[in-house]
Amino acid sequence: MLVDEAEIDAFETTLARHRAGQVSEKVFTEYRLRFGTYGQRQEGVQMQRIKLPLGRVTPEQLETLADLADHYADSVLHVTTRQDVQLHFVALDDVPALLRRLARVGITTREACGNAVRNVTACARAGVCPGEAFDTGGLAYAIARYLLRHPDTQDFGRKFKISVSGCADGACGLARIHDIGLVAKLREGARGYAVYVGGGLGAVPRQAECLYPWLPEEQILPLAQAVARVFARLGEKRIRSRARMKFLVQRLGLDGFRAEVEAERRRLPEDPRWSALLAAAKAEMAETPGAPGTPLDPAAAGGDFGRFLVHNCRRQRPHPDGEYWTAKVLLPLGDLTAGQARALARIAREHGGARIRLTADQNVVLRWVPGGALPALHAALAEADLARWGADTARNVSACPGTDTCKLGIASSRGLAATLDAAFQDGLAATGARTDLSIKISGCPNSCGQHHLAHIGFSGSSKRRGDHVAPVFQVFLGGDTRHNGARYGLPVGKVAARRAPEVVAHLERLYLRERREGEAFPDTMERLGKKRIAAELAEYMRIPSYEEAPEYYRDNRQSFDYVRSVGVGECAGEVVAAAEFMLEEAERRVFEAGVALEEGDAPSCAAHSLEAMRAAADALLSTRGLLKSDGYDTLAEFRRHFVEGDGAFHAGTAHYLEKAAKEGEQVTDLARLRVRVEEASLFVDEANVVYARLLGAQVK
Amino acid sequence: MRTLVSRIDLRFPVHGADASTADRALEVFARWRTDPERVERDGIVDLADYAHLPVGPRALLVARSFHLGLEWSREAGHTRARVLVRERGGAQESEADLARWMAEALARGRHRAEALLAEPPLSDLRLGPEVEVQLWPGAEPLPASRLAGLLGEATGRPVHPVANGAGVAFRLGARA
Repeated sequence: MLVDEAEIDAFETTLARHRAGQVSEKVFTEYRLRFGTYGQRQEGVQMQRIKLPLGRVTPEQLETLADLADHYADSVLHVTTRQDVQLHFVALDDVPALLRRLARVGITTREACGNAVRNVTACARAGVCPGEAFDTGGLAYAIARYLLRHPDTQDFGRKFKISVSGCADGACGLARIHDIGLVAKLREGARGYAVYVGGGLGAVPRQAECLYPWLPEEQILPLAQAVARVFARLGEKRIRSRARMKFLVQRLGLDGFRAEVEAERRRLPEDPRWSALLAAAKAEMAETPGAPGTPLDPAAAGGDFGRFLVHNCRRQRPHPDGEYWTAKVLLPLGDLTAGQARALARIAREHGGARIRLTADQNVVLRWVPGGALPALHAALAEADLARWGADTARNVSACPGTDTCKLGIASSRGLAATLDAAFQDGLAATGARTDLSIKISGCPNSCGQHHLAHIGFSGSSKRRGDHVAPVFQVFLGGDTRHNGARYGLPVGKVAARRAPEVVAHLERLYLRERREGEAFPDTMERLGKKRIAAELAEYMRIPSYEEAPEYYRDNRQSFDYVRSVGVGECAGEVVAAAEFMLEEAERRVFEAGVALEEGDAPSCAAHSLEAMRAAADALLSTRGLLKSDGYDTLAEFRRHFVEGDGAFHAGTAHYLEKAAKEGEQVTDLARLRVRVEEASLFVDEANVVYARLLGAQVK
Repeated sequence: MRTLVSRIDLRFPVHGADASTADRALEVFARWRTDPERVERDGIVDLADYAHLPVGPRALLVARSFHLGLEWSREAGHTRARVLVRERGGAQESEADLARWMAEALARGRHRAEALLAEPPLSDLRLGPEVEVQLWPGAEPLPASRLAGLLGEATGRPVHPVANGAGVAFRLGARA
């Protein structure tokens, strides 16, 4: 089940209970994060992240996103580097209604943020790309479905990212920067994947290492589950900056990590969904053209359309129905208005076979466009101000939200991106048109803008001089998205934020002057070396005093003085143990049981009161290392571990669970149910006491 | 608590906008967001800079209970600028409550639009007499025809339906 209306009801109840002081700030924060609701830099407003596996979105869904942007946000949809959509300035009270409207069109935001499996990303051209080994869409979607809400993915110390790539050389899948990166590979006609683990960007970037050079496709879901179990069990939980899986791989060594994964894999009970979900996902991902593939008329390829064709359109792999293309819609800073989103949905229906994917470089790809329809598609996009050319040029700048809305932002990544965007249309137009130069910007070292992967990357920072602080950017040179992001840029020095556009122009000139025949930008920079480049950029690194040049103390696109203000980021999420979530669920169910009793709804009361006790028992069992995905018998194990074992749980109270389980959910006697709700309440209270005692023991 | 309309969007046409208008509006909002009295009074959250977009709310002030900004749209090849004022709806126990709230929101919106254009960087702009009203359904939505009737009664102005993506939108004509 992708969407679950009941969990949105639970969200609404938990929000109300939090407002009433019954759910702690810490637990509620991680709880809402797991619904993609993220506190913005500005107090009292939320960013709502909307998870779209593989960046796949239907026209109907895009129209709903547009309506939600208009109704609950600021009328702008922001596409992220993880193929999500984000809405900003959302009121927390509006979130349940927003989630319900998403659910109606088959979208869940579950686990979009927090210590969870984030959006599973994949090449936006998966299934139609001539260069891919085979269509990876089915597997990517199966992973997303399988791990969503999976009990083995609920107890991580940090977020967990997975990507699936269709080829070894491309720049779309970025497998090497992920916790699990998969690269499609055929072996004697059989589908399989090279499996990479432990990659990540951020302040301590690390390339994923090859765990297996090839693994059959049908073994990937159990492998992902085994890796998740190892990460949940052995990953760091206390030191936030060391909690990503890359540190675990580093600590155990690749061989040690592999041994743990293989031991876990052997322990896994067989799950029929491994094969069933893969087959269902493949069927769901299979696409057919919406119209006959008419050929492109070469005579039409002039002027603006010609540039759009060259820089934004690529031919799909041959198809029996004729000639099809993909067209990339270039979004400035990853933004499009609600009106543009509606126009895009209409255009996709009329010209693109209604197949839309968001890309990891914050744009949109329309698939299955018949060659003959490309000129009309371009004209329709132009009408909606969506026909910018240059998807494969330096104009295609990626940038995270930075200080605009993110608590962790140090400098304005979007301000710099917007300044460059304007310069590339005027003044630096030739630089912007280069196809051998890429730029990515992050507002802080965490690299949501993927600055490590750009030829020229910028990462926000600040520099104090006297009583004033100036925004600056650390410059990274030599990164590359090709080969699945296998090359990270290296820092060369910090430049004044205001002068960053000049740095781009200077580096372009340096490259043109110094390059050897056939040499790419990253190679030239590597050959020149850090010392030489630092000397080249020295004039941009100097920060004059405030009195001398106050403009250095203002960030790009800002008319006011810079103030360094970094909050506590929610990107890492609070570490809330799975047991605490289960105890919170138990509390909520006791509350729901009480409400049902008041309303005379016996079946609901019976179900909630029983499930409350089960959830509390499971919470305690999780502290003994039991995993729900092993399918253990809650009653038997609870008795063994907490009643007969060390007698930690009061036997009389424990009996309430056994009695309720025996009665089941068919109790209709309201008097008995009233007692049962009281018993459930006592049981959950006792579980909280025992959990607190266990926690105290662990701390000692 | 009944909510018949959850939000009202008002769009006042602006004459005289040019390429620099969005940046000038952002300058005004940047000043407002650091004015403690204004922040307190209006519940200002922040500004949103979307000047890089060719259309839409290119300059926006976000406050707790309203948004104020300059928005551009393209219609039949022409670019139009408008002051956008959005206000969240509260509880409306009856249709009479709703009509009253709409009339008040219109007056507040007009006042906010005028106050924005009175700021020196924007004082060369002129506000047109028309207004477009977009209403977003609440938990107990009313049919468009009833909303049009209530809006007409509340303002005493002729109400014309407008196609505007989502919600229910009307253009208010000049008072008879």
